[in-house]
Amino acid sequence: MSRSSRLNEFSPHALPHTGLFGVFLGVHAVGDVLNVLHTGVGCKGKTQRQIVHHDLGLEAHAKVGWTELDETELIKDSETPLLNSLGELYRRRKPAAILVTASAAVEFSGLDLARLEEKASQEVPCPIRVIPRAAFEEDLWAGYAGVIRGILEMVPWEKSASDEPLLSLVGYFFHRHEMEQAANLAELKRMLKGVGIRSGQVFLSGENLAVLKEAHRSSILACLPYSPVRADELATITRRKAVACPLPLGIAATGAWLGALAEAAAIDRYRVENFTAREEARIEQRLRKARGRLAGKQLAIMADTPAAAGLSLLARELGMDPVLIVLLDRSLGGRQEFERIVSEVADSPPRGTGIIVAPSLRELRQIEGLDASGRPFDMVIRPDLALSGTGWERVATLEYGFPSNHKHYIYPRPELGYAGTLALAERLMDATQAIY
Amino acid sequence: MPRQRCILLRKVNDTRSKAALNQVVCTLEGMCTLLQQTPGDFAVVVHGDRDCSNVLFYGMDHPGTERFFCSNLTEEDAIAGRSAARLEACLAAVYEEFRPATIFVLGTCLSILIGEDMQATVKRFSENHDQRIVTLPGTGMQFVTQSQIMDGFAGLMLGSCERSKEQDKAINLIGFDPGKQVVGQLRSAGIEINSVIGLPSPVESWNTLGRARTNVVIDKFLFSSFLSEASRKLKQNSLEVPWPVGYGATCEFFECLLQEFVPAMDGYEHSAESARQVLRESRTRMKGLRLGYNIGSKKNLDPVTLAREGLCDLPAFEELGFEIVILVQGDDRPQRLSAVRQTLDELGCDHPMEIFSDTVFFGELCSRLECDLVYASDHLADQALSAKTAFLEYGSLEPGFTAVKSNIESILAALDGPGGGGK
Repeated sequence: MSRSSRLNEFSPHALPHTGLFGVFLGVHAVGDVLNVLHTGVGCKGKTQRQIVHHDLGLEAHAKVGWTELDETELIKDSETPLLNSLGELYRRRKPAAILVTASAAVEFSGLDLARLEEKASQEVPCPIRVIPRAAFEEDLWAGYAGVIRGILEMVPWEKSASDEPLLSLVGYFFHRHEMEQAANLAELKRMLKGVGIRSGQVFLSGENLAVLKEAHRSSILACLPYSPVRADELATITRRKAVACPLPLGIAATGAWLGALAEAAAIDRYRVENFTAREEARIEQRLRKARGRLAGKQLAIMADTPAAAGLSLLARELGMDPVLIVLLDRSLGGRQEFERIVSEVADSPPRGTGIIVAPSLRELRQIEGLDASGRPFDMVIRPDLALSGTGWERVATLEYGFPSNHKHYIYPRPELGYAGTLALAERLMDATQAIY
Repeated sequence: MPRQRCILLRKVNDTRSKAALNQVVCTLEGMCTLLQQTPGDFAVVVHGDRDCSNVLFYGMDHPGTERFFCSNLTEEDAIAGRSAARLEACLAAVYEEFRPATIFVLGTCLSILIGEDMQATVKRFSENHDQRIVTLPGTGMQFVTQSQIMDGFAGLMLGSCERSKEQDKAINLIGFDPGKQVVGQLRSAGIEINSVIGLPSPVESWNTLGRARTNVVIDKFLFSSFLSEASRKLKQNSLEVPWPVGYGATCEFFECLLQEFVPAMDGYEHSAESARQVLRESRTRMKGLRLGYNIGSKKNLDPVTLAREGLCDLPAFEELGFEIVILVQGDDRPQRLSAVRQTLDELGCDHPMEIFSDTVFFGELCSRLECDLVYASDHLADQALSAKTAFLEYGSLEPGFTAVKSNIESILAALDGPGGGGK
């Protein structure tokens, strides 16, 4: 092992959050659910504080409560403080459900969380779900998926589905209450309507629990890449038709997404082809202008695996050259999954692209915004990572994903679908300019 | 300078701490937040599980994250007794490649829970490595107040200070920065300012503290351990002054300092006059309006916000003639209420108080009290505005005489803005 890799072993990951934060982020994406931390006082800093600058759309203080466990309680009886806190927090905030997570130190004490869930459910008049080992989960997406799983379990799937085809999406990464999220959801709905599919619920989308529980009406469920379960598992859980689909990011991936869903809904293939052809023709002229500015530019992309794959496909569609891909997650499939998505959607594997999987912050900083030959990248698409003071600051940057502490949306500008392709192309053009 | 040191936070059992108006924080979170924002040649090793490195605040305005490392303890490490070896390996890796002037080793809930003897590990490591290491075992899951953390942090920084042989009459401003204008006025009056130490400040600034004879603070309680250690180690005096916000408190601030250091000087009178005039004109509109003054909500490790338990800006509203009610966040049990009332009395605040146990009750409280304006923590803005109460963000008032006018303009803008309706 080299010296530098020895230090990297102890350096925080570039995006180091565990499931403890991911669960909070998932709870933040459901209107009336509360996250209770069975932890010491400091763990609040690992949750709500992390999105203070990221989400200007919703103040998140009231989405989290905590037991503020101390050592004596942990040793003698840590159940009572949790039960008391759950009761008190229910009284104050009246959540539709409470999801409980515990810190690693608390879980090390061998607390029987399953029994606690049972006990709490008898005492508190709302559903209680404990999400075990959240602080040990690999990354925030694993915790976020845990919330979707918990909510899916609350849907009364035994109730009958609607007679007409109705499609709900499982595994949408709703990370803040800003207008790009609203625009994404509107675009997904618009496209589904365009091919004749009625939209149901989206897990998760900022909706209240009662709205999400209406998903039992859906006859078809589509698994986006952030789904906690595969399509076949989802079909078993819900006893409904379930289909896997890519993230509709870029033209080809959007077409593939629509194709997969339309096939599941038994929509006429020609109808779908007509719609996609019309949409592509509608945006093509404007994309040509973007290509004029962007073609040939060397791009680095830092994102979770599905988003990185989508952004890389979009970049190629704009004539750009994504020479470095940094996969920030540790639970969404990594290099293999990235290559699978790109190959499936583009019918050809990515070539000449360097891929770094889950690097430490130190490794990422050491790249200094330079490619293998020492030339600065023309652009980078990335979240706001702790890269201040490195060469990355000199690279034209489009902020994307979590956390986006600089880029905020007060106007509905999507990232997904055909409209999102145009909007991202415009943002990339902006990023190349010193003045915009 | 000793190569190994262990810092323990001061113990508290006083009424002010029982009042819990400085929101509690964990030692790791507090120290990480302050160290992360402190420029300097050091590294930080968090000895705990991987999730604990997430008390760092990533991204915007916090460029110090790359100096942080974590021993990344797993369940197996903790159970099998391998935790000390992990810490030693982490220290070795940081030493070999990073070689900082100082390594701060911070304990976590887990290291306390398993009874880790971090000092012994550091001692063993130091037998073969010439490295300055400061250990802060922390308090595990025990509560500490933000003032304990700030005091402990200042103590940490004091560790590398030396007493200057030619200590002069200069002063250090510790934990507050009254702004360029006030500092300029003090200098014009003949007061020599050696260092202005806000939190955070670069390590280099802390290192120069020993050149001054007096440490000036706006609340001795916040830095009690630091001040006694500075007295012992650097032979420094300490002086408490008001936070110079509003007309009256700014006058008092100058008087305290000038009387102590330049008795013959009254150089601030001229600039005070225009502030006095503005104040007189504004009283007519504000007099009798009800102000909800919020305390107990801030968790930002900002000494100005936390000094005098958040009451530092109160005089600026009192002199405008507001009818004031103190809105206290947190535990509403009788024992705490009594400690809060006693603390307010001790700090000379005799306004009535109301408690809200949760942020979600703040709007309701504003309505019930018929507040015309609330001066409150930023996260309470939505609650206040939804209750149709004018909102001014806590901490938005600026120090000094010239700021008296702009502060009043901010208050008027809030009264005229959303929720205010031009009262």
